[in-house]
Amino acid sequence: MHIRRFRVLGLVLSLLLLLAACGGGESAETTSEPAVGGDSEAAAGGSTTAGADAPGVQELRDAGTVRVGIKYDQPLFGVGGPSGVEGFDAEIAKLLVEGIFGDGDPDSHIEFIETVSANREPFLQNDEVDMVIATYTINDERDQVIDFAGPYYSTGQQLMVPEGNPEGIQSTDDLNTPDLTTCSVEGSTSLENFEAAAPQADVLVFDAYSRCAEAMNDGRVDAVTTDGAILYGLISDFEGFEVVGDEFSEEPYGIGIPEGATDVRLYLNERICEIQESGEWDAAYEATVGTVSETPDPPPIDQQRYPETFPEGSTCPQATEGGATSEAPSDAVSEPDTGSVEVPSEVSS
Amino acid sequence: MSAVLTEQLGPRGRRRVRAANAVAIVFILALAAFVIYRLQATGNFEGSLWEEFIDYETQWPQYLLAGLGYTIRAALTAMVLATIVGFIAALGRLARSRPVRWIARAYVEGFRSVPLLIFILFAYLGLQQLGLAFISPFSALVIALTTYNGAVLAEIFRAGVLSLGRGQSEAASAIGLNYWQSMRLVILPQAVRRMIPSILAQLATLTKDTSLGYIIGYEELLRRAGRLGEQSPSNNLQAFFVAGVIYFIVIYLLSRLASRLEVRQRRKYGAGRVEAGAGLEDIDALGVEADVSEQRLREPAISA
Amino acid sequence: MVGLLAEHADVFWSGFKVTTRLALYSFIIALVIGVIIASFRVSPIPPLQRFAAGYVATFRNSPLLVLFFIFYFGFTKLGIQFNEFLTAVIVLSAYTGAYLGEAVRSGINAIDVGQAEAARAVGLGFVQLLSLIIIPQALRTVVAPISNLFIANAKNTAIAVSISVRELTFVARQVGSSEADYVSAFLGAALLYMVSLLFAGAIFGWIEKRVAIRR
Repeated sequence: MHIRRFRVLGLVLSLLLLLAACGGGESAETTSEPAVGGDSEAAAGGSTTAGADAPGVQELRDAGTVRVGIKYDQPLFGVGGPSGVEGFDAEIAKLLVEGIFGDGDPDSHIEFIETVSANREPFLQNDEVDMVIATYTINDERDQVIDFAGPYYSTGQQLMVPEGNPEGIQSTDDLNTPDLTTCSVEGSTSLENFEAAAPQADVLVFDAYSRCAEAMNDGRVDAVTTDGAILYGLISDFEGFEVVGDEFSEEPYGIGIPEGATDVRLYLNERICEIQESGEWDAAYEATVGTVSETPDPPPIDQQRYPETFPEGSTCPQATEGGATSEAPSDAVSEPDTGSVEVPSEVSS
Repeated sequence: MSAVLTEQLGPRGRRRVRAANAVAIVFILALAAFVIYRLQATGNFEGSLWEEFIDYETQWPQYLLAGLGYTIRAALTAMVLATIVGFIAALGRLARSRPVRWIARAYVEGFRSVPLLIFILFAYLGLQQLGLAFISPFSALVIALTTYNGAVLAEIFRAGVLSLGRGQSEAASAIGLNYWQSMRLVILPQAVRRMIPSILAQLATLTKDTSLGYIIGYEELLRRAGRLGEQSPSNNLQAFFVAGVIYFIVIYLLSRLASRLEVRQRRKYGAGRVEAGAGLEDIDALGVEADVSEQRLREPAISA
Repeated sequence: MVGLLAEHADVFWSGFKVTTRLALYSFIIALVIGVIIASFRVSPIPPLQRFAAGYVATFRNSPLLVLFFIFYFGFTKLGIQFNEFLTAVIVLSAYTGAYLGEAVRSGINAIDVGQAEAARAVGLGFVQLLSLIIIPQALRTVVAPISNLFIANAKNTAIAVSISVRELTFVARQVGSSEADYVSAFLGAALLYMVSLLFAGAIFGWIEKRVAIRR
């Protein structure tokens, strides 16, 4: 809708960029140097990341702006405010976009668009956003209609209860009774997982986790369930809550992109690897989620899901550990190097 | 005050009324006090919770005004389209060929026996499933509002035409105009004038209905205000309240305008009452009717 | 589509039952509210008149969804904890009650002045006048608008999805999501609504024939 105007703006911007690029090729290397210990093995200049020249990525560059779907109500990950969006997802977005434009000013090339859980696939399918970085769990069902790059983070589903755990809840089994009420969000994997794990539970369904937290504050629900990352965010906002129980699901957060956007996907994987190696990933985490939790190791890029994972000329260490690069398409599904071999039926087309 | 039901009160009556006055006032104030006290006790009047809504510089434009803008955009678009659809459907209802009448009737009756929300959800989730890739919350909302209100407006239009009475159409054919000519030159101009208040009232209702866009993620006023409410500390209630007040003001102004026009029309054009008689929205006209009939009952006492 | 409906018939049926209960309870309460509000409006006590006028204006000009949220999250702040269903009933009755108040009021005003005069002549007080003479006749005058309001109220029950009431629309969305077939789910729900509302309309039509006073 209102995105169309940016096409014209994009043309003008890309003209300017061309002029700037011709003149300022060298300075691009220094300005895009990350502030935190920049001894990256990959090239320091963002636009020299492998795969950044592919046509799909060039399209984004031409548009001048990358439309990023993000949550506006996810504390620590995506919080929309008058000064823009803050959080881990936003930082990752900036790092990724910086790799496309390489001019040290990722903010000017990002347009954040709010996506709630249920909107994420539709927005990608309808070309309302170019990518979605919104605590977006990778799963096969979604993979059928869109594609994923990454993951860039990994968490797991857990339970949040009022501080002091008055009901003594330790796992989903404790909640598997109509006497206790649990809350989650419409259209999310958390809801599906929970209903599968505790079919007898009484469940309240809202449109946003903050409503769930409010309801728990009011004493209407006994537990809120979703990814641990989101729960920590709620705690940082509401206080008076605590997280209990082990993670009962694996939630790898990925970058949602339109189905078939292979160029973009390959580039993104490469770029994610880059920022993990360079320490920028750690810095982004510490500045956001890291304020309430310890910084974990970043998860490995998923190399089983698609025939190709990394672009030609990839410098990512993970790429040589038995993954597939675009030089060796489809028949090079991962070798036993990494351990378990995923049967090709799991790789969705 | 309805002069019908109470005649001039004697001293005992006046005393009783004064007593009742006092009791009523005390009761209402007590109720208000209770509500305010409880809200105060749970900290709902804290400045920090309300701060955001007074912030004209940043919060207002981005959230509240933007949301209001989206609301108005959807409402106006839907209104224009619904008018067109409703007009066509009304013509269908009044057509001379029976199959056409029947189809129009099916459309109107069908769409008014199903909740609007189902249409909105169907337009958003269902049409996407059928492969219409361009569906966004905005387009889904507009499509649903258009088809639904088109049915309501069709009835209003039809009632407007029928309210003219047969005299006009008979006179028109008496001077040699055929069906369509008489429609165009005689019936419709008069009917349209009478329908304007109802149409305005329908616009008010439509604005109310755009709030349902919340459920499919359309960034209308309620949702935007909710965004404000999610930032810590959580002030959801305050956010919804403010959104409610803004909605109220807009809708109230619209319906006041509509009822003022209606009253003026009655005085000018006599008994031109458009009795669409169905659907919640048309009951706004009932409220006006109640007011007008009260006035009428009062007047004889003055002029007699 | 039929397959989907058959498979989830029990779920749809439970949702339908919730919708029906919501619609009936809230309408009955709304009728009571409506009569009370209308009585306030025509009473000789100004504070009551103004209260009723304010009540009507507030609820008629506010979107139902907004009211749902305000009441749901607001009740707890007042110290009262109603469950979702009860909150929905209260909000729906308050909302429809405002409209019914106007309908009943127009019915009251449509009654011949002679009735009130005769009642006064016989010595009836205000409350007796209202309850024995006026209201019964007023209600019979406005059966048509009342039936329309019932249908509108029943349709408004769908909005209770927003506070997680498991009525028909909620259920349809859930089934549509789990089967990835929203079209069938919502078509099925629409059919259920249509059939039951047309049926309700027919019943009211019968009532109208038997009971209504034509003016």
